[in-house]
Amino acid sequence: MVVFFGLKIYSQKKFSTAKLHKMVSGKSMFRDMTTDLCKYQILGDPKEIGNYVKVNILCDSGKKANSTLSLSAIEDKTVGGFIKEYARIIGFDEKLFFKNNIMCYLDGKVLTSEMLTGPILPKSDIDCSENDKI
Amino acid sequence: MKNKVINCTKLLLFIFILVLALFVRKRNYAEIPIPGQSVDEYSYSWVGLSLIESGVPVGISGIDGYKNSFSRYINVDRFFQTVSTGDPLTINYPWMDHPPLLGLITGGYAYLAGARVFEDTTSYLIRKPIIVISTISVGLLMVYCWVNFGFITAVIGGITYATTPLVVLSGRMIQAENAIIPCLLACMIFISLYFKYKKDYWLLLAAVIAGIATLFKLTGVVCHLFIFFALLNNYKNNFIDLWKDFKFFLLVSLPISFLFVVFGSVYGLDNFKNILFSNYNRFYGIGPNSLIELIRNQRLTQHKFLPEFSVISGWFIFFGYFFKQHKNMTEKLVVLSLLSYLIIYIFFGSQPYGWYSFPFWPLLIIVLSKFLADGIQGGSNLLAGFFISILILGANISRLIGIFEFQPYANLWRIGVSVMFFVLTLMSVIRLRYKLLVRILLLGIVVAIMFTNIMYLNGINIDFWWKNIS
Repeated sequence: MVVFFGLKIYSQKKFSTAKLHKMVSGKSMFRDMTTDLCKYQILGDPKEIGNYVKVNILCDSGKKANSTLSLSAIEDKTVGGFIKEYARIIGFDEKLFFKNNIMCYLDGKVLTSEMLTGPILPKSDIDCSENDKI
Repeated sequence: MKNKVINCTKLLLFIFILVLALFVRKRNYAEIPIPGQSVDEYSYSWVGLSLIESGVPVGISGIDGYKNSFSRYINVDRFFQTVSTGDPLTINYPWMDHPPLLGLITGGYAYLAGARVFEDTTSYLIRKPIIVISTISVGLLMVYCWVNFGFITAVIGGITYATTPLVVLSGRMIQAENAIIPCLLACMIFISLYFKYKKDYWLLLAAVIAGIATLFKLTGVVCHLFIFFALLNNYKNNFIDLWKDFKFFLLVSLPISFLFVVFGSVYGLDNFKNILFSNYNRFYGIGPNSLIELIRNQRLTQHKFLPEFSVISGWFIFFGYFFKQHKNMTEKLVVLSLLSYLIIYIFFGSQPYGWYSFPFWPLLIIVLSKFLADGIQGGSNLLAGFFISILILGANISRLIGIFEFQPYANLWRIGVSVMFFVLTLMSVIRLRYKLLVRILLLGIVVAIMFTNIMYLNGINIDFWWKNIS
């Protein structure tokens, strides 16, 4: 009885969806942040067919980072929301995407700040490069 | 005075083996096994962390029946960069796949170390408690052997269990089986002491530990099954005494096990029931392959194997003990514990996962150590003991330097083994008992096994893992 009511009261007091979101999507204090967009990537392809976005980044050093993310795991399904989530997963400041020497294209069109609020469509490609090498 | 010195030396050796066990488990523990190859390690810790942080257990589940689930990329240890299949993780809450005790230990430790979000639960942090638990298992294995078979068996068992690479690497993984192992060993110790001294508190302790074992995972019920078999075997046809003891045992252990139901009912009894029954639909490895796999291939994870001759030979000796009529109760207890877990293993149908077989290993190593110690102490199985120990050593050497690199030493090995085999055979035939010589020889092989185990463990890094452990 003590365990039952103790746990019941504790969970009712402590649980909230905001807290859940913070625990699941919060940034780690132990993980390094990188400024090199090509240092890390997400391996493999999601099994879910047709509901993904590909991110391909080409760096000055010749390194590449190719990631495929399932859209089912992205809460904010706008272009800006997707980039923010990608930056969180990889561990870099999302503003790096919009630095002067980095050029990005969304399905072949230059990525502008106006496009960030628009929806991200399944099977989209985001291609970025340092100094527009694409 | 002489006895005091001997006892102090024994105690020091006991402590030395424990320190060695901790040392080999701790080295590179955050890198090997590669974090993320089993996401269960994170899931257990997330369950504990979320339970403390938010009062609701949140984790990864592969079974149906959950009302709340969503997908997320949680790139802890950057495992999406190393071992990912590309799929995001499916998060479920309230998570009730297993009881939450292991999660509370690893997640609780992470919480105390400052972790607040799931990405904080790095393998560097969360594997620390499990290393301590698996070192405790080494100590309990030695205590069981010491109490029941004597100090030489305890030393051989301790050294083998402390340094066998498969056991060391698996002992770093956050899997409930690693917590069930010390519970089962403790139950074996307590029940053997109960039979020896007839004091109720030993049975009480066994009951408490058996109850706790089920709070790690439902397969912890192996402790209940083992105690039942042990009592049944002890009382033979005296059902009144059997029932009296088993009733007492259940009266203590079941309320502890029942805490899982209380835990489940906090988050909705229907939900709990759905998830519990979904477990029945899990993959079931029926067929002969599940048992052949168990004996022939020792798995670390679903796709990583590390065959160990000490475990394989433990199986052979177990079958020997199983079919032989034993008068010695302490030997019977090991056979009964192995049999109990074999029943649980088959019932839970656990072929594709490596960790389900972890609890067999300490039991098989006890059986092996008893067999080798009998040989060392001048028993009838001297030649068989020598043969098995030399096979284990040979397998270890082949792992270290490779079969082709070994060829320049092949003649030396053959001559050495043949001479030793000839001498031991001769001694057996003419009934010469040079106990000291035999002891030095077999203990020397055991030390060589320990040394080669440690050498192999020292050579395992990320590169070696990918290239050589498949």
